[in-house]
Amino acid sequence: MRSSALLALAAVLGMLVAAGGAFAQGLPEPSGFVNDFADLLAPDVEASLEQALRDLEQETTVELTVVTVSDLGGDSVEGYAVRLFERWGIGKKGTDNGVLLLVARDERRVRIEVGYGLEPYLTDSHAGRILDTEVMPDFRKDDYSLGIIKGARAIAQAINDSTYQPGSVRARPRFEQVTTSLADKLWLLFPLGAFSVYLLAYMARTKAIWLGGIWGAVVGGTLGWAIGGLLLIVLGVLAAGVLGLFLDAALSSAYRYQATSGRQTSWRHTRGGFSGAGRGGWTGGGGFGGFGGGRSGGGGASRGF
Amino acid sequence: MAKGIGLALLAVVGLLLVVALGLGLYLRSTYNGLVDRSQGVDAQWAQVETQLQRRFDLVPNLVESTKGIFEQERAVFGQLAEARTRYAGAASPNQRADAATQLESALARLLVVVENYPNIRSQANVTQLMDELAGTENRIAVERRRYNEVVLSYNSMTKRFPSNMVAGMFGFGERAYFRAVSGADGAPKVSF
Repeated sequence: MRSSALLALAAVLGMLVAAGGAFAQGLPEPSGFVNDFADLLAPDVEASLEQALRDLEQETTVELTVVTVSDLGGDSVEGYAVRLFERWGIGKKGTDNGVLLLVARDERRVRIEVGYGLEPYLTDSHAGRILDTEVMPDFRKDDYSLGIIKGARAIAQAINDSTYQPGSVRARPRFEQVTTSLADKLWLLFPLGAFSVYLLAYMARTKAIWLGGIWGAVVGGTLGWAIGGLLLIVLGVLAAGVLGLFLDAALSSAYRYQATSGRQTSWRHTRGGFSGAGRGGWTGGGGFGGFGGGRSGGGGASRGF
Repeated sequence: MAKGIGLALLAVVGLLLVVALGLGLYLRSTYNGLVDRSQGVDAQWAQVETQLQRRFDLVPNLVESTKGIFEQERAVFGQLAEARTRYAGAASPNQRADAATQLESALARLLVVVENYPNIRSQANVTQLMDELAGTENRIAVERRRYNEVVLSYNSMTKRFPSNMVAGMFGFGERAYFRAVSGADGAPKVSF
């Protein structure tokens, strides 16, 4: 039936969209709230800091992450921080309550990057003061563990002392993805397509063609609804209904000439198998899933040490 | 025989309807995509303007806290005042963007000048102000980059085949990029 071809097409499109989202930009992947890529932290410090940041997230939903990198790959510390923030989505989606403490070993730069939602509570000058009074003195003595711990504690303190309420939202720019409405309902295609395959085998054996028409109309209407709009539902019902009538009629007359239909069902089953594989790719993902998809806009402060 | 003609007719009507449905779907998704992107450009421009306004508001504070060197550095303060007046009087987004880049280079010059006066630079309120200013410059750079990305996405949709036909049909024109100051790329460097 037509819907299985649509199903295959939708599966391919789905995989393309998923692959586009996973486009890598030469940035590391997060493994927790503490990501000591440059190995500047003592192991016990790393573990206790990770626990402290996890507790902070539990209490306030604020996602404060500490990242050390060996080098910035030619970028400025500001540019790298924004890209990393963007890629990891530090903070909760919608509330943008993330903070990034980034240390670049080779460039000897440190930055506090503040998510959109925390900007009123952790201002640029406050972030600069934290760097000056808590982080820099120890960094100048090459004690990175202590500087990072004191910096992270001061950031957490600033948020706890402020009037920040977990879940408070600040307006931010949104860029709507055209595909989301369809993608949300894409799962519908799977049962529809699968059921169509089994129904086809029955419809081919019956002389009547009305069942094909009705089923076509159901599929078309559902597709129209999934994409959205009354007009599309009507159009979908009409087009797929007529197509269903025609297909049922064609299949029924073909069945009368052929006593066996084994070859046909196996062909259809390969289509079904293909679409099943496509569905798997759609929900793919993995690794550390701690960050909630927050955004930042370049707020914060940087220092060289 | 009559049954065969009926079947053929059904097939033709069905195919025509499918083609019409496909065309309608394409038109709908392209049009909505253009609308979404155009709205995205507007929203991102508002974000840029918020940060430009923030910079604009910081200037009087900066002038106030650095007035100790006003007499020696008359030229820089003159440029700053002029750029600020132009920004306040800008009517269109394009004029505003031009005035903003002028303001940016005047500010960058003042920051360089302030570096030469350690007694001014080390004052706590100047340090704070410099952080706010550096943060604002960085925010402007970030929002400007995002604005340009959104404009790029929108513009390429209005130019690529076949969505350019839909764009032409409904009058979706090209949008202007916000170019950074030539020479002074990004935020002025503030070091302590």
